Amino acid sequence: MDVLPNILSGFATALQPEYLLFSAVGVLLGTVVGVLPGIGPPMTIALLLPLTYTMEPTAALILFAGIYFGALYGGSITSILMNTPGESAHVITALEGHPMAKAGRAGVALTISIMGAVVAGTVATIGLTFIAPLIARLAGTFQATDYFALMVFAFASVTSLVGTSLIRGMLSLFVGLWAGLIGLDFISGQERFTMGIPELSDGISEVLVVIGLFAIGEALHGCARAMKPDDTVAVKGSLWPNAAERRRIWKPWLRGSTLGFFFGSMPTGGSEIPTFLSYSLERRLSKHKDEFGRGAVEGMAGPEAAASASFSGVLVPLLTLGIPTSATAAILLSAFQVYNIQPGPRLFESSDTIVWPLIASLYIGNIMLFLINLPMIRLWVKILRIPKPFMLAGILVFGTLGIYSLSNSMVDLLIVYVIGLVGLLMRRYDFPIAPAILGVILGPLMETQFRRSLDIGGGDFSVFFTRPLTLVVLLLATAMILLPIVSKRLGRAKNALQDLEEGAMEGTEPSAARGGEPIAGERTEDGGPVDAMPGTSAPPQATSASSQATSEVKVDQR
Amino acid sequence: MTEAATSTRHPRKARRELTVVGAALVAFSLGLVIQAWQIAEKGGWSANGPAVFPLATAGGMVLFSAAFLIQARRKPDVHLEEHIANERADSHMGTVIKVGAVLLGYAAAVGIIGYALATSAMFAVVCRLLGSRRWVLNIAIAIGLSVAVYYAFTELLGVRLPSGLLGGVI
Repeated sequence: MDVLPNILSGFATALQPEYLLFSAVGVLLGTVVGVLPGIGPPMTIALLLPLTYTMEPTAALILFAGIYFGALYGGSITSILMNTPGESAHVITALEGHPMAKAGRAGVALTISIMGAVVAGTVATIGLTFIAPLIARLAGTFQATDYFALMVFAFASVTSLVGTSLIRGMLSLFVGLWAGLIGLDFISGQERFTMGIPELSDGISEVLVVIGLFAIGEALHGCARAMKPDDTVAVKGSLWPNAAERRRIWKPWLRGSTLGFFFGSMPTGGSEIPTFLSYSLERRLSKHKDEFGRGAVEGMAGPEAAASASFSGVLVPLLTLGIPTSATAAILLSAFQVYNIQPGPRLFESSDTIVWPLIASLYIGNIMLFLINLPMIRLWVKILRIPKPFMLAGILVFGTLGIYSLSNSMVDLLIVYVIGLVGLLMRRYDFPIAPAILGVILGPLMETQFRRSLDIGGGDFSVFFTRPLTLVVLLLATAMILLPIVSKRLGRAKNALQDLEEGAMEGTEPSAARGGEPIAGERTEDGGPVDAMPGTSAPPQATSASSQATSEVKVDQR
Repeated sequence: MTEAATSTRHPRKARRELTVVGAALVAFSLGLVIQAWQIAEKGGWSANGPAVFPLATAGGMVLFSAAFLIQARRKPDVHLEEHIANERADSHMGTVIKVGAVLLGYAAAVGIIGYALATSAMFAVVCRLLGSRRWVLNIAIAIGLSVAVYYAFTELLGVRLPSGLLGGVI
């Protein structure tokens, strides 16, 4: 497969004025919605889904590419100015960017963030352009058992590696799997888990689950929380980093981009791990260690680049294998399915007129992000001042619209509100949302591959253990689950990440709950930092940097 | 009162709440096992039949629900209890119940009175419930938003939304 002619033909399509307009509109809409406090990329895409229902697929996907990048940058703005990370990718942005903003360098922090997003997004899209066709060709040789094993691996990594508790992660996953099973069995036509309700025979659409758990659940959770005033920092002074800052940021951008793309393209649950690793790496390499936690530019530039690059990275398994590895990717997959496009190795052959313009539009979306958002930074800040009652009521209006415009069905509305209630309870009891979303979207695909494997193997389960690739991936998945339980060091690292995340999102004391036992990133008595990940050190001073956090509204996309 | 103080004052309440959640999850999971069993009896127990995934899912639910319940009783997760104590201190579930009632009313009414009217009413009432006391502002924004969405979707995007009572007007 020749990449260059294909990508050039993709550009020929994506550069048409109509598609350029869709890309610009996508970036604008993504930023406008993503900048609202607590609304992360998955919810932004879920809320904006209905806009594309009547569009032709290429236009819709180009619009989504713009929304994707716009939403990510919108989240950075909120994290820097309000210290309310909408999702885990922005926790470090809040840790370092908010202190910068409070020190009068908000404009510089926002510019470093947007330029880092453009650099990393472009680096990662170049990686996607050349690596995705190779993996797609390789994936053409994969068998049903391999796909089944890869999906098990994706489930294992999302629930185990990035969740807060294995038990709650697994419960969230199984609830998602259950919701995905509701309806008629696709082979035998038998009803499953429909409880005799005829409306459930067609199953529960993924869009209902996504909007219910993310948008409605988040809005109801916001309704339940006390309405405290937000602490927004004004943008004053220069937007441009000075010469010393410019020298300090380009290497972290490139290192963050590499980490982000590498981990994003692996089935390891998206942007959480590369952002934390990038932060640890930059702290270790920096000549200004004392500034970390108080607004270190490289401490923000690296992880921001990692988050942005991992966003393009997750498109590798999504486009080539049809396997989403983060909540955002799962929602993108459901958007693909609205247009009857099934990502996977054949996408590059059967839908190359769609996939190459989409990849080309990722390059264009990055440039648009820069051209549109840089002059509008001061305008976005004003959106942060929308009163919470209007914002929450608005989320309910648009979440409801996303469902009602699909079917004009009262039953669907009732279902989405019930799912929203489940989403509220999951937030209250700290269940991660991402495994449920992956379960409902990936579960039916996994069952298809499982049953196809058994058909090929004559109903014998040994089919999963005789093919080396399948066996290796299944063993890796098992290790992924068992490792944090068996390894105390890794278990501590997970707790540390959880503390940091909660600290940044809620402004709590990281180790208070464990009776002051030192955790990663905090100083031990001898003054040395405790390692967060084997071989790395975690961010310090999470508490001080995040003590101002006011996160009545937050999205959990772990 | 600080959040840390809140959590140390009410760990028992948080633990009790977690026990109730765990028990509800176990009951729900057992219900799933019964349904999965019925699927197997109807569709057969073969390895590639319709019942394998339902049985595995129900089994997984039972296993991890039981683990959740046992953890809540025997080996409490201090982080989670603190999280719940904070939720208890900061949440007003009464507001959620009222907003939920408005949403149910909306689901019932939107097909009859029309999208723009029902959405305006829902937006304005929810804003009021969430503390925005300026009715005139609430209603003005509600009407502006819902009429704009109605026109944008029906006229520009070609998505069908009910006009309802305002059929002849908009």
